[in-house]
Amino acid sequence: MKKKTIWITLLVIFIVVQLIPSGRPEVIKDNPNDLLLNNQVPTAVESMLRTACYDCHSNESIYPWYAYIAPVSFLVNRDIRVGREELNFSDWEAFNKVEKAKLLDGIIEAVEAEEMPMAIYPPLHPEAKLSTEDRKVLTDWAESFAESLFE
Amino acid sequence: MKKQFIALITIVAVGFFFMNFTIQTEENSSLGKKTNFEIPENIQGIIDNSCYGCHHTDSKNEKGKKKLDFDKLADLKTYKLVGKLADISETVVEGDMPPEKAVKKYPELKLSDEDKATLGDWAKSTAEELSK
Repeated sequence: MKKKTIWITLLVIFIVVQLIPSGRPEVIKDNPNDLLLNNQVPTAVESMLRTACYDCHSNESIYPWYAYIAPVSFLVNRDIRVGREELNFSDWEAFNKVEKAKLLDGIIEAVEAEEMPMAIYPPLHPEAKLSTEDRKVLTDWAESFAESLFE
Repeated sequence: MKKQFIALITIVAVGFFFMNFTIQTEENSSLGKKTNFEIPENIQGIIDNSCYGCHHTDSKNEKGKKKLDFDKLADLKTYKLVGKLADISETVVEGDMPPEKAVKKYPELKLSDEDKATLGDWAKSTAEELSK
C-alpha cells in the first residue's frame, strides 16, 4: 500500500512537471547573418561545426525526442539558451571585428582544452566526437579565419 | 627641354621608390605583431596591483596564466590581442575578476569602481583601435 502511494505520487509529480513551460529556445531556419552562409568555410570544418556545435551555438538546434520531456528538457533548453548567448553562429555577420576576434579566440581555447563540445554531448551525439586531429583542423581554421579579418 | 624631361623622370622614379617603401611598411605592420601596443602607466599600475599576481609568465596559477599572460600580451597576434582585451574589459566590468575568493583573502586586490571603469574603457577602446 505504502509503496503504491509512493509510485502514484511520483507519477503525479512527473505529469505535473510536464506542464511547466520549459522555455524551449525557438528554432529559426532562415538566418541571413549565418557564418556558414556568408563565408567560405572548408567542408570538413563546416561539417564539424554543424554536427558538434550548431545544436547549441546557432538558431538551428535539432531537438532530440528526450528534449521534450521534463526534467531533461529543462537541462537541454538551458544549455542551448546559454550556448546561444555566448556564441550564436546564426548572428555571425552582425558581430563587429572585436567580437569576432574574441569569439574565435574563445573557440580555439575551448576546443583545444577539450572544454567543447561539452562532455555530456558526444555520448548522446556520437558523430560530434572530435578526435585530436579534428580539433587541430577546427582550431587551425579558426586561427586563419581570425587572422584574415585583420589583414 | 631635355633637362625638364630628366627632372620629370627623376621625380617619377623617386615617387616609385617611396611608394614601394610605404607599401612595404604597411604590409609589415598589418601582417606581423603589433609592436606599437603599449600599456599606459596608469593602466599598468592597476594591472600590477590587481591582476599581474596571477597573470604573468612565472605565475604558479597555471589556469590564470594560460588564460592571460600580461608578459606575453604584446607578442600576441593582433586578433588574439584584440580578443584578450575584449575579455579583460568584459570580465572587469562584470566584476568577475579578480575572483571574489582572492579579494576576500587579499583585500588590496580589490578594484575600485573607478579602476574598473578606467581599465575596462582602456581595454575596450584599445581593442577597437586595433580593429580599425
